[in-house]
Amino acid sequence: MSDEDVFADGSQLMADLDMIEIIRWYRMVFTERLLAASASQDEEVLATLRFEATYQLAEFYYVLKARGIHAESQIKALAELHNGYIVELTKDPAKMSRLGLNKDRLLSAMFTTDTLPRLLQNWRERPGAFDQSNLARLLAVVMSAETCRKVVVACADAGLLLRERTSYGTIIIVSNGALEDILGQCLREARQRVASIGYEAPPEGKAS
Amino acid sequence: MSLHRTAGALIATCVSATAVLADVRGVRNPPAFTPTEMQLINKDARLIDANRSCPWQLRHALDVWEDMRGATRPAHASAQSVLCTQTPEDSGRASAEAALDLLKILREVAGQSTNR
Repeated sequence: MSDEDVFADGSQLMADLDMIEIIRWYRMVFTERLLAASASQDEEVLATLRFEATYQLAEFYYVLKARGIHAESQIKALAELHNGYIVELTKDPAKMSRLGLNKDRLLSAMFTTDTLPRLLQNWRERPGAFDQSNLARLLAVVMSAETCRKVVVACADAGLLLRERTSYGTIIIVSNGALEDILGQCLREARQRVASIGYEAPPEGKAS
Repeated sequence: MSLHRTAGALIATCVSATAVLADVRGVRNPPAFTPTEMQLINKDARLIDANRSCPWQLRHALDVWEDMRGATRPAHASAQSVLCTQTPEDSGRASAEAALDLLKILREVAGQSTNR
């Protein structure tokens, strides 16, 4: 533990309290705006939109867009890094336990010689499109495949994602930009609020 | 159909419906069951399975069944609270550590692209 008394400086403390309110505000306003944007008012859809996993999904899509990850080669790199991460994770039982994951679930989240080509083919044919099971693989460390399916279904019902069945019987998920826009706007406003946190340094030699 | 078989079928339906909603991760303290409830559970393979895989959903379903039998509150309201508004135990939540790892992977993908 640090020797510094975090409660000693009143100005810093007020700024810290502003910060904690902003963190909470950010998560609250994201859910509020998501629900306000929902085309469905079905109770179950709205309840699912409130899940932490829905935020995780939105964050994933937001970062893909904000980081400019849109080329097929980038998706291939993403799958390879994902596989490498999974392999490392399976060698670390303590971390697996912390993350609430087991080896079987992790191994099923890896892209194989069967699933990787499908991931790339979907993206090639329609940039931004993930097979639902491949999307679940990419998000496996933050939610189960069943939660991913449920969240995607709710987002599609809410008009926040496109979810389409292909002629091959697979389900394709494509972003329509709504999740990214809502999260991005909330993030921007939160960052501006953080930037405006005032902190008056105490006069030299004096502690407040 | 006997009362026990009706109860078993109803509870199994409730449990399977809520189990679909549940995304259980980690371990929680198991719920308690009365000897009578254990007798009922042990008579139905589906309930035995539910007791192993999602004991809390089974606990809720038994509570609903008890409410319906005792008519202590509107049955449909009790059933609704289990079948429709039950959220997953972890609300689909994973650790912040995993979420941060995912952000780092995405940053690395973007970094690889710009370095080419």
